[in-house]
Amino acid sequence: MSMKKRLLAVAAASALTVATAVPALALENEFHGLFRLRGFIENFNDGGAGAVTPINNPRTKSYFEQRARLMYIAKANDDLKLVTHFEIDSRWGDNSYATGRGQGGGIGADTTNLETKNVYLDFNIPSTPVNVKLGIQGFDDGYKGIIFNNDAAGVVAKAKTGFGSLGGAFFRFDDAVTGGSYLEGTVTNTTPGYLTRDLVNLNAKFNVTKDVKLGADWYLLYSDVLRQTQDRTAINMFGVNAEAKVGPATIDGFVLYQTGKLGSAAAIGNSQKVSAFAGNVGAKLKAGPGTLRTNALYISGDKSSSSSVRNDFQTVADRTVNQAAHAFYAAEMQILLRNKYNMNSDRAIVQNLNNNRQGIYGGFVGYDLAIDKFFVFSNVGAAAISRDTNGANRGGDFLGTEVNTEVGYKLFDNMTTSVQAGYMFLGNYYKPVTTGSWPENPYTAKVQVNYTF
Amino acid sequence: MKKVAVMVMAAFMMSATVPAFAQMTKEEKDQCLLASKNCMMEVDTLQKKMKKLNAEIKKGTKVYSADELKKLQDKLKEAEAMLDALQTK
Repeated sequence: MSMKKRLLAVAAASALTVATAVPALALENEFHGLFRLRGFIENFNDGGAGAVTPINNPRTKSYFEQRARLMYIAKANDDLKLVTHFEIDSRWGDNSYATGRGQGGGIGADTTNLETKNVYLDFNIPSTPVNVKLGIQGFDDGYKGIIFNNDAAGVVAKAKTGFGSLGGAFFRFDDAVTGGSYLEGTVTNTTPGYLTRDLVNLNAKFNVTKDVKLGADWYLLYSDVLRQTQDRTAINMFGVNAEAKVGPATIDGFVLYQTGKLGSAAAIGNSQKVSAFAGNVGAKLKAGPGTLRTNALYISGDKSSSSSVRNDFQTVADRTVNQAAHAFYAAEMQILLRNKYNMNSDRAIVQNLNNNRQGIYGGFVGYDLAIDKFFVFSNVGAAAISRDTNGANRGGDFLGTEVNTEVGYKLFDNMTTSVQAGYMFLGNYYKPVTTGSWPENPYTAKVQVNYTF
Repeated sequence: MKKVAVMVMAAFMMSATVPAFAQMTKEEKDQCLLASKNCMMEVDTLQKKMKKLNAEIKKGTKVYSADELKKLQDKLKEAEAMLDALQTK
């Protein structure tokens, strides 16, 4: 064989080798997303977020809101992927030719309004049972969302073990201009890492039997954002959660205890001690043609904000004091508590479960029924404050009772249309202290179109 | 030798082009154009993926080993969590 022929043969063989090797480097591209449109007629939600206090003559609000979410996942293999998740929200008619989130529904549209919700790397460490998620991501706190249920930048690690799993997490909530929640005031962080608010978690999950699971957690909510004017905040949370299948029912619940110190608005050295508590028990049961759901929730409160020991359960808020970074969606309320479908309109009677130090306790019962392509989800819930903060008792602690329903039809496997309605009978908490009128009972009626893929 | 090289090259070129003919009949191509069904680049929706995973998990140990079943169950949980992340706050 001449040299020329040999070279040609080697080149051909090399090309074939490269061609067969390339697929190993290929990415699996996954695209998922959501489109949701909601049309509102109600007297308490106004397109904004935060707690709402019922008033007399609140006026009827009617508007449309839409959300699109796009998720792109670049999957190298089963052990390595990059997850990105984007969001575009608008209220119809709100603004156009603008720059900023949550707008662009006005005539002309053309608004720069793409939000980055998640960007994180998800990988398994080779030859170990450890999975790591690194970057801006959502988080399942193991306590039905009452500690933290939002997106944040951090690292989450989990190792599967013979008995269940061991895990840990670190999130940096703030390292810049910060304010809100009990961290009252706003400061500008000119030295990155100097003024921060962080969340740390260590957890263990035990599969006691095939049907019984137990979990134990330690959380640290730390903040030195206001270190120049007040003490640092360091709240330790110890929690136990459990889930058990008993016959046709699944029962779950948790208890959480908070201890530590809370930076006070007074001078440095005057931090308050924290001793607070939260608890939940829930059940799901196949009943007749549908599923019965129940949940009870207790969040402790405190009479005074100046006591040396604070008994109100400390909750995580976004930077703006109005917006909770936690939720209790399991209640399935539409007015009393935040609802899982809420978008930019995210108001509730008790939006932050700390509830202005008053706390909350309540019971929630629901029934889900699906017949062919039709579905009906119905709920009733009642709640009261745990502690009265002003001593006036306002005529009572009872916040009220909400009844709500969602009736819908599945147009396609991944597209539903539904009508949602809720009404809240206000309790004695809203009874006028002396004279004056009762506030109007809040109501909501919505039409929703939901497409996920 | 030149003939051998040409044959190897031809085999390589065929290997890259054959699947497109093998996997898509004329009828399927029409379905893709007319009804956006059975397209070559079609990817599963989360719902379709979950349906497929449930169907495979149901086959149980007759088809899959315990480890493979666990892997399928983990993938199902992952898809459910993804759907939840899209739908809620």
